Amino acid sequence: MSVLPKDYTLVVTEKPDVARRIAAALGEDSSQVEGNYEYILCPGKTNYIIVSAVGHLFSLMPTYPRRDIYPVLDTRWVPLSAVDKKRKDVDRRIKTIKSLSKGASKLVIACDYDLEGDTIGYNILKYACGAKKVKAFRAKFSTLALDELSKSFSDLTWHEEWPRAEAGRARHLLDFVWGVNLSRVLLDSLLEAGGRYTTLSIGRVQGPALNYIHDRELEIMAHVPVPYWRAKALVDADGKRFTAEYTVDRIGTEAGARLVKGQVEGNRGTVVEASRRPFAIPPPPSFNLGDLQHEAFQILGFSPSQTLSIAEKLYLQAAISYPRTSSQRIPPSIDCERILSSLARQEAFKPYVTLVMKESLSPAQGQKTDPAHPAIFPTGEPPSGTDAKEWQLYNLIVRRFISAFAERAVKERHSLRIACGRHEFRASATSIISPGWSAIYDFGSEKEMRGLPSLNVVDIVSFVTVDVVECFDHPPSRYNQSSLLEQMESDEIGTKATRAEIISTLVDRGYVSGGSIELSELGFAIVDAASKYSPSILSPQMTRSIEEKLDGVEAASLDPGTVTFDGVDQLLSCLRLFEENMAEVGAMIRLANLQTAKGRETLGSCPVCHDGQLIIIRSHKSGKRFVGCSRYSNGCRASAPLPQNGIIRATKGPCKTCGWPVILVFTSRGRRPWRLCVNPDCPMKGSALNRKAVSGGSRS
Amino acid sequence: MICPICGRESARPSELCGRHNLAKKNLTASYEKWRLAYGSMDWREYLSKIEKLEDSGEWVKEVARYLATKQG
Repeated sequence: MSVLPKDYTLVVTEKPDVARRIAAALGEDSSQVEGNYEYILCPGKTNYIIVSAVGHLFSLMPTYPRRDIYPVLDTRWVPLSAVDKKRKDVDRRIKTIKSLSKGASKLVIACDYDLEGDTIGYNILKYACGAKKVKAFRAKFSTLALDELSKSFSDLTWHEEWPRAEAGRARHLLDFVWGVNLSRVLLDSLLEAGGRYTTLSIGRVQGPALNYIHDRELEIMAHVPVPYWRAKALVDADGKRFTAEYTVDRIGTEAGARLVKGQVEGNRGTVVEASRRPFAIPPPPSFNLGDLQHEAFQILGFSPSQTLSIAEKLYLQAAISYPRTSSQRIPPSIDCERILSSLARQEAFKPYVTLVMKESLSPAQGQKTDPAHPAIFPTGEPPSGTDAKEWQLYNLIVRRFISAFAERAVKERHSLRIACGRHEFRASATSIISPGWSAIYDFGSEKEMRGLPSLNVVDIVSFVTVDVVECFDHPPSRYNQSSLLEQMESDEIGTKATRAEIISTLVDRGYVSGGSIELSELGFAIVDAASKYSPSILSPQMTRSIEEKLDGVEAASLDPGTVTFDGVDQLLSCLRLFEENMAEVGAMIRLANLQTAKGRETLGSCPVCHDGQLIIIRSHKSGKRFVGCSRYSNGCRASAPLPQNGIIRATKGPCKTCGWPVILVFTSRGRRPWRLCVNPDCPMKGSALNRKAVSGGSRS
Repeated sequence: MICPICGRESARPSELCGRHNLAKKNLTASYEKWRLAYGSMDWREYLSKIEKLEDSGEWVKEVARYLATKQG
């Protein structure tokens, strides 16, 4: 490395994109590649050399990686390449950091300013820079805007203690030993019971999440609808007609409902109450990650993990602030006026900014806070990418941010109560007086209801008809990814960064399926086995108590060693209970595993012979998968090619055009699955809708 | 003993497994509500209606079908 300056500061970032942005902020000279070393040189009053990690460079592995050692409690941090053979690239980066750190006069950790970022930086200092005492400067920034990055380098803070990294490392250690050992005991139980190998897991966060789905499934599957009746009247007020509902929401008997109809229909009623009440709705605060994931799911149909992935891309393009935040607050230190002025230069947002630009700008603030980052806000720079989904999410974030500066929305509720004998009916309508913020953030806002005639108390109206409707109790709705995430958030299990991934793991393991999450037989068996033999794994209280202790480590009030010791102790109690009942646990899982696997391979009824099932088969000759009829040996020759990449899941209904099964193909994590009919000759495949799917799919 | 509906182990002393036992318990408990709601309804008619309702749980429908067949 002949070109290195004599005196330099080494800056370590978490991602290459961040390294490039920091270099641009510090006055980049050039990117250097010398042999295996890759770094960016920024000469100046202080000479900076910037190197980048790619997320975690180090990972945990058992100290003695032998299968006969159980439980696995001794672990060590090793380069990621030792655990994942595909990640040999990290060796080159570790070597570069090691070499450059030797001559550096100062070290700056510029990883994301949160628990994971601190953990990544701390591990680099400890294992790549060989620091006996981990001391370095820390750069703090919430956006990759150039001015904020340069400011963060003039306000570096000196760190000798890294409590957040200690908490991160303790969390990694606990998740690792819980995951490895519970997976092992479940798998050994399954194999002992004669089951076939499959990847099984249950963890301290997975357990409660799976249990929510299990409890909901029980309610749905064992639901008995109970009948009740509702009465709705068509009311006439001097020729103006409107509908009114009986004030008793549930009429418990059919006879009671008939009585209401008989006594009201065709009779006159008197207005006993008429009111117009304005009410104001304050603007919503800027997003935290959970709110963003929820809204993106409701409005754009993005899964929580997809939203996080897109938001991170927008952050790396310096279009938005750091998205992994719990905060719903925009602190006064953020120059909102400058951001709004920049947004006004983007045509799409100009009209909205005009609505809120005034002398004093004060955004709506939420209750939730985050010590490391503010709520998600746009930097003012438009996204550099052209991806439509990135734009959709960016639009949502920007409109939400702008709307936080707008006036309250004011609406008016017009209500009437009408009596007919001893029966009362009510009608109401809402109208907008002033749209306020809802004119800016108008996604899915309540539509204005049809107005009611102006009536006063003692006015007389006629009940033209009364309709009595027989209703039945509905079972509760299944969780979807968004509502499950909300449930986990409200029970404080997992972290904002890991919740979406936990849900994806439940799908990967085959425990749950579908957009409206349904528990598989395997999912049932795992929960049943855990609740019978080791119920604390399913308890949100247990995992929450561990989370609280980890928070204590982060706040430097608890010792990480004691907290990990307690967590391991809890794990050992859970393991012991499983170990004592391995035969029973294995038997419970074995059958369910077979049923789930069979269910995954069966796509639906055969539309050719109408007798067999279309199943996924792998060719012995070519190794490729295709779909064929289970009655092949009886002469049915129905078959079709299948996409060779991705996970295939059957959908419930067959293709409406040809009757063949419709499948979902999951090609990458967090992305929406690709939906297609397996019949290569399906007439729909000629349509624009399916053309892409056909050409890119089954012939691959 | 195995559950005559699904073949899983019975949750003794019931002849049904845990899932179907839970469904049967709910089914039995709701009968009185149905009888009151319609004024009168015999058990057989109740089972038939439950089986046809879209919102009835799958296990409940299976139990209703089983009981209707069992009782001739």
